[in-house]
Amino acid sequence: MSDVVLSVRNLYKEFPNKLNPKALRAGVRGVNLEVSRGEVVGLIGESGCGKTTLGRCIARLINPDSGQIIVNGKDFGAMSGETLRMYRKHVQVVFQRPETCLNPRMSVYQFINEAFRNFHTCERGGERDKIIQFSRMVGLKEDAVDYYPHQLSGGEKQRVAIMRALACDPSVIILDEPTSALDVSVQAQVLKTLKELQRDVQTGFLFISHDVAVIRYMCSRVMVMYLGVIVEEGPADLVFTSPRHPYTRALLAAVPRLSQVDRSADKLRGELIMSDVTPEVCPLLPRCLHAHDKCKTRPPMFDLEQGHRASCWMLE
Amino acid sequence: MVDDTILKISGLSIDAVTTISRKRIVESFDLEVKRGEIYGVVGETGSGKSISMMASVGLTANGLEVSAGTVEFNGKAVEASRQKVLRGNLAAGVSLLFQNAKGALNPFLTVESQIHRVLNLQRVSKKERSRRVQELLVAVGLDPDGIKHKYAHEISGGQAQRVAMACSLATNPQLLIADEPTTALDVTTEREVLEFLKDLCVRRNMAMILIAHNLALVSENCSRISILHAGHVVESGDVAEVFQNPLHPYTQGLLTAIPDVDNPHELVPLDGSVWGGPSLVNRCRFSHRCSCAQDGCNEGIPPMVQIASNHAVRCLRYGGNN
Repeated sequence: MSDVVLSVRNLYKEFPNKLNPKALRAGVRGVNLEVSRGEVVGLIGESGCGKTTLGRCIARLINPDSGQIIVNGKDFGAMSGETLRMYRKHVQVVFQRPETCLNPRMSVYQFINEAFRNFHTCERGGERDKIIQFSRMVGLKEDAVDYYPHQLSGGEKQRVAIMRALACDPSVIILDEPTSALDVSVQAQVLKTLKELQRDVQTGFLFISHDVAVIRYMCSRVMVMYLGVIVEEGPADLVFTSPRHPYTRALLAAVPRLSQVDRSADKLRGELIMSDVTPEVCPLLPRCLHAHDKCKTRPPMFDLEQGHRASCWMLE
Repeated sequence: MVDDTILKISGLSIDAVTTISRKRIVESFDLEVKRGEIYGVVGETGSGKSISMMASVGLTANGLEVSAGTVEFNGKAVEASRQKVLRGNLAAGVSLLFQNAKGALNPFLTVESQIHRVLNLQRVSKKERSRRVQELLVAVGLDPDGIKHKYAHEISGGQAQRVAMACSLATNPQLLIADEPTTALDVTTEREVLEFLKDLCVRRNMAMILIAHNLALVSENCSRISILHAGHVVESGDVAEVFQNPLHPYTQGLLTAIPDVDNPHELVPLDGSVWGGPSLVNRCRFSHRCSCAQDGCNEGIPPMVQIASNHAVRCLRYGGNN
C-alpha cells in the first residue's frame, strides 16, 4: 500500500449552531478516504454538504476537531510550527475563483517563483526554464509567463493557479470546484489539461465539484457526500451506472441531460433543511421516499462489490 | 385571425457607449415568442443574452443604448427607453425572475409585505390582498402560514426563488422572462423549480423565456431555442432539430465540449474566447474560433439562413453570400 499518498481517517470538523445547540452541526462528520498516486478521486455533493470543509481540513487551512490526515505516510494532521509549514508543500489547493488567489502586483513568473523559493523545489538559475516547462504542461502560452493577472482571462488564471500548485511538487492536489466559475468552452479546455496532467505527473488529485458530469469525465473513483457524511463511494463506472443510495440516484436523475431519460422513479422530497435532521438518524431521512423505521438509526457503510460501498439500510 | 405571437423582437441592436467609443455588443437580434411557449436563449457569459432580453422590455443598464430595432409586445410597439410604458403597458404583461432570488427580495420585508408591494401597484384592495397572497403562495407550492411572516434570511434558496416567483405572478403576466432562475440552486432543487415553472406555463397559458448557459437544461425544458455568440444569434429553431442536427460550428463545438454523465466521451474544447476576435465590425463574430473559417467570413455579417421551417443558422457555409 505504499502508493497511497493521502489517507484520511475518521475526520470530524463541526460548526455548532449557537442558537440551537441540539441541531445538527454543519461540517464534516467522520469521513474516511484514500487517494493513491496518479489517481483522481471525485467528491460530489450539493452546496452546504461539507465538501469544501473537508478539502480545507485536508490542506490544514482549518484545523479538524478530530481524526487523522496521513500524507505520504506521515501524520500531517498532528504537525505544527515549522514542520507543518514545510510539509504544506505536499498538499496543494486550487480554488474555485482563481482571481482571488493571484496577487495583482506579481507577474506569473514572480508568483510561481515564490513557490520555488518557499519550498526549494527548483535550483537557483533554473527557474525560468522550469516555469516555461510548467506553462507548456498546463497549456499557457509562453509569453504569458511575464503577464500580470489582469492581462489573463479566467481560464488562463486558473491555469496559473494549477501551475503554482504543481511548482511545489506536491503529493496531493485538492481541486476545489476548479472549473465552476468558467464557461463551458473554457471549462472543457481546463478539464482536458487536467486530465493530461494526471497522466504526466505522479500526483494524487482530490477533485471536489457539484457538477456530476465533470466528475464523471475526470475521476476513476467517486464519493458522494450528503450533510457531512459519505453516503456512497466506489469506482466511477459502478457508482454512475448502478447507483445504490437513494440520494445518489436522485442526484444523478436530477442532472439536466441532452438526451431524454426516464427519471420519474428517483426523486426526493423537498429540499435540504438542516433543522429536520439530528445526528443519530440517517441524514436523508426527511427527504427519502423509501424511509422506514430503521432509518431512525444511522446506517453503516455496506460493502457491495469491487470497492463499491453505500450507506443505506435497504442494502443490508 | 388571432395572432398568437406575444413578443416580437426584430433587428435589435445594442451599443455600449462611452465618451470616446461606441461598440455594438448585440447586433440584429430577432426573436418571436408565441403564447404559452417556453423559449430558450443560450450563450456563454458575455454573449449578450441577458442584456438583449432586458433591453427588449425597456431595461437598459447605464452605458448601454438601443440603436436599432423594434419590439412588439402583444402587437403594440414598446418604446424601450420610456419608464412610463414600463409601468403601464408592460408591467401588466411581463414579469422578470432573476438568478439571485435572495438578492431580489428586500431584506427588511416579510414575504407577505413583499408580495403586498406588487399588489399595491395594481391597486388591489386590502381585503382582496390577503386572499391573493394566500393564493399566490399556494400556487408556487409553499405553505402560506408557515412562510408569510418570514424574512428573506430565514428561508432557503429554493424557497426564496419560489417567493420571487409569487411576486412575478402577482401581476398575472402573459410573459415571464426568467434570467438563469436556477443557476444558484442545487440540481435536485433546480429540477423541482423548473418542473414547477413549466407546469405554471401550461396552467396559466403563460409564455416563458428561459435565459441560461446550460444547454442541457434548455434542451429539456424549452420548445424553441436561440444560441448567442458575442452578440449574434448564430443558430435558432426547434430544440430537437437544433440539437440533433446542429449546423453552426459554435453549436457543434459546444456540444462536444460538454461532459456527458451517461456516456463519458473525450472533450473537444473550443479555442479562444467569446470576445477574443480582432474586431467586431462587419464580420462573423465566431470566425476567430472557427476551424472552417473562409475569407468571406470576415467580409460582412453572414445573414441568418433559413434551412428548414424550424431551423435557421448564421453561417456562410449554408449559403447566403452577400
